[in-house]
Amino acid sequence: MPSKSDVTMPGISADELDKTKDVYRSLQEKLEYLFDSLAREKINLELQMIEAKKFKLAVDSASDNIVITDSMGTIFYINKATENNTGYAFNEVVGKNPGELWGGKMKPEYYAEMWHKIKVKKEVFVGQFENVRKNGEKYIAAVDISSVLDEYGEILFFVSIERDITREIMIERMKDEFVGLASHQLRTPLTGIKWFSELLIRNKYNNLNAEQLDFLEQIKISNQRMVKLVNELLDISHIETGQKFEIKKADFKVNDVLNEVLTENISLIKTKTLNIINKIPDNLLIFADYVKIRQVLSNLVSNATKYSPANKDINISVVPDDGKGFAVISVADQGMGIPAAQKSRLFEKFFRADNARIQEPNGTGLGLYIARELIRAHGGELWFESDENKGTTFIFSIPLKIN
Amino acid sequence: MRKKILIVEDDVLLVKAISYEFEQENFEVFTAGNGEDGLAMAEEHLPDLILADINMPKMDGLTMLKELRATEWGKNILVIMLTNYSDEQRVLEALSQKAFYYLVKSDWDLSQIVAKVREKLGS
Repeated sequence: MPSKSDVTMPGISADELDKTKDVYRSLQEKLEYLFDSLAREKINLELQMIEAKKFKLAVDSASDNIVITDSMGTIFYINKATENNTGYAFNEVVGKNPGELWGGKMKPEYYAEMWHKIKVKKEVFVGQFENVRKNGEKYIAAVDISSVLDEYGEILFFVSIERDITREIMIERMKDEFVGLASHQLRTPLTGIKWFSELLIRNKYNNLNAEQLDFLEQIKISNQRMVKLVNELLDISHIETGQKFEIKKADFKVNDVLNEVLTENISLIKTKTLNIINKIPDNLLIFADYVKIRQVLSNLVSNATKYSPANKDINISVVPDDGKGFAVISVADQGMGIPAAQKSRLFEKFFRADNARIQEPNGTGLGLYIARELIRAHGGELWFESDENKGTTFIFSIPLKIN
Repeated sequence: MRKKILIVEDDVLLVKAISYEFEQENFEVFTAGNGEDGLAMAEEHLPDLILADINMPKMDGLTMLKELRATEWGKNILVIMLTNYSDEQRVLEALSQKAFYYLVKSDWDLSQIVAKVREKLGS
């Protein structure tokens, strides 16, 4: 670049010329900078376009229905899955509201609740809709709707993600109906086996020998196991179909139920010479459903006897009043305990701890799940404390007799 | 005098077992295979207690119970519902019609059912 005053122009001083040169130089620098930024910006934009294309491809080909609307609920985007699932083409839906198309079949209050959640609270709405496809077929959709906000917190648009769960729900219903029906139909032949084997065992005039009587006892025991399983399956189908347990409350002594349950388990208690220590005072009255509390105690006591080693104690005790009108009853064994890693799964249905499975292969893993549901239906809670190889204590709270 | 008991149950095998047990226990036993016959038998013999199934042909046990309660002669007869159903709605319906007990068959030994009946009859 030429140095100062080596160029002259007529009528322009060297100083002025220098100034002009400076201005041009600075302009040139700015332009170069701008050009660089533009080049960078262009690359950025291209990258963003690639990103956007990737996202669009992902959204377009997602297997869930994705619908994007403006803040009034007017559709401006649906993906392929929505087209396939609802039967409406993209062109048919743009500019319309889902309510005019597949939606709008629920009660107005339900939609009001949805709008309140996404528009006023600006939170994610999670729910189920019964919608209708273009061909008139109904379907059930699990829906998540979230609002997308701008930097000022105003709603830009809503994104709705829907999954067609019609099939899952149908299968679930069929399963529950099957379990219910099968269980009812199983009860008649089970009762036949139960009653006739009882008649044979008790018949005073029979001439059965000891071995034959033992065989009959085995039939009876097997029958009892099946009766129990059918009852558990019915309870499960009852819980799964969302029905509440009907609780018929009355005042009764805990020890009345407990004595029945202990008699039920007497043969195992004797064989293992278990020491039953019942500290529940005889006058302790609770206000609950007798049959259901019997079922809970029967489960806890039979578990304790089953998993307890021979010659150990089973402690049954109570905190007569927790201050909230509940008795807190506990059944403690000195058995193998529940492995620490499996504690969190104990109340899952069909779950059985590894050590329990080894010792007693025949359990169903349903008893505790049902027991907790029964206690919860009373407004109480069922929980446990356990140390491996030391023992397990099951504890539940149950409403006291009201004075 | 021997107590009269009416068993209304459509399953022939179960009727055989339960009536055998009650006869052994010195009851006078009548049986019917559906609610309609059950009502007729009840009116004819005026039993001390009726054991009734729910799910039966012609007339089910709950309808029979309702009709029984509507009669002058039948409104105070002791009734125990004995069934395969344990669903709550039926239990409540039976109890609201003054059935004194509701037993799920497969949960009870015959001897326990006899004990319940004796308890209700005070015999």
